[in-house]
Amino acid sequence: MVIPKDLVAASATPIILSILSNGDSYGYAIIEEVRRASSGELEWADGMLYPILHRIEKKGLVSSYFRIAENGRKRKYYKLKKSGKRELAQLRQHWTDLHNVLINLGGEQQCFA
Amino acid sequence: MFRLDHEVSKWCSALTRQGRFSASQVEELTDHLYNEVQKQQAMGVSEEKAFYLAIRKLGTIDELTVEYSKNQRIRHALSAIANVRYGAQVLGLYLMAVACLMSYATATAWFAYYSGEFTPPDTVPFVLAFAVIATFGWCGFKGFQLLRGRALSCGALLGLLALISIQVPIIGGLPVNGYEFSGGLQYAVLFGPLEYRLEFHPGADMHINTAFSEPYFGINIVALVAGIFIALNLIDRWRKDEAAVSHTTTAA
Repeated sequence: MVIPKDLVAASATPIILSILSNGDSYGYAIIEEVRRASSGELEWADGMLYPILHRIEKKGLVSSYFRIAENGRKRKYYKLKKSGKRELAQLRQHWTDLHNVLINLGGEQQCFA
Repeated sequence: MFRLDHEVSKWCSALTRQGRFSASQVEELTDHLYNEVQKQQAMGVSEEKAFYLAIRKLGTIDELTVEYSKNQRIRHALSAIANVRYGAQVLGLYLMAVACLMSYATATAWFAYYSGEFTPPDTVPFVLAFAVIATFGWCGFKGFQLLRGRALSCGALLGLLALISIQVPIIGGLPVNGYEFSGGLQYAVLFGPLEYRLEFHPGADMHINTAFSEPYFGINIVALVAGIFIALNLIDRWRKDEAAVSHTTTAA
């Protein structure tokens, strides 16, 4: 089942922040991690990720730095900041609340049917 | 023979020419591209096919531009006038207006010459009329390209700068003669020994004063602003060309 685009867009920030909460990472690795975690159900257009990363960097949720990768090329890494951790906790709470609303309205069986 | 680094470099140059991507953003996308190529190759795909697959997955340059420009919409709206790209579009409209007004004025003057009802200096011969209309027709065409968001070459921008610059100065009332040439809207700020005044002249005008009057000097503000925008575009073009050249050199 492929997740609709609007849900993909809405969930992008919490997903990126969640991945970065496990450690610093870079664009390509983040996309691969999303594919792995969603078993391919969450399809991100590769080019969509970077503007989102830049947006959350501008918001001050993450910081970035360049490091030379194992292949010798410059690679941009992103690091979760304290404000990003707080934002992630809030977003997780929002998504949990929404999930609970759906459960309460339809029951777990119907909700995930 | 397919050369991966060369193809990636060409792709980066195309991105850089868009003017929406900073050097670090291009580097980031390049790293992504190489990672994807590496992954495809590990699955047994040829280098050439892997490159094209990676490009397709990343999105076309137009798609990337749309995605990246989402971050810039508010800033663009706030700095619409100062922004070179928006300035270029306003400038495009101005140049088209100049071309229309100048061509109309020249054609009218030529018809006057042809009909024989008027004598110089209110008439112009065919060769001069043709040259003026051709020159300003080119100017209008370049304006149309700017309006459509096309980037002009440095040569074209220099040509436009020359055409607009000659419309900036206004000199009048000198013992020999004066000079004034406006190919579009003119908002003149005039300074003289007797007065300071502002004058607004819509339409095209091209004349050399022969009548003596009090000397005055002025600036056509509209042409000056247009000239500044052309100069900004020119600087922008130079920077992009240099960035593209340095990127190609680095990659090579």
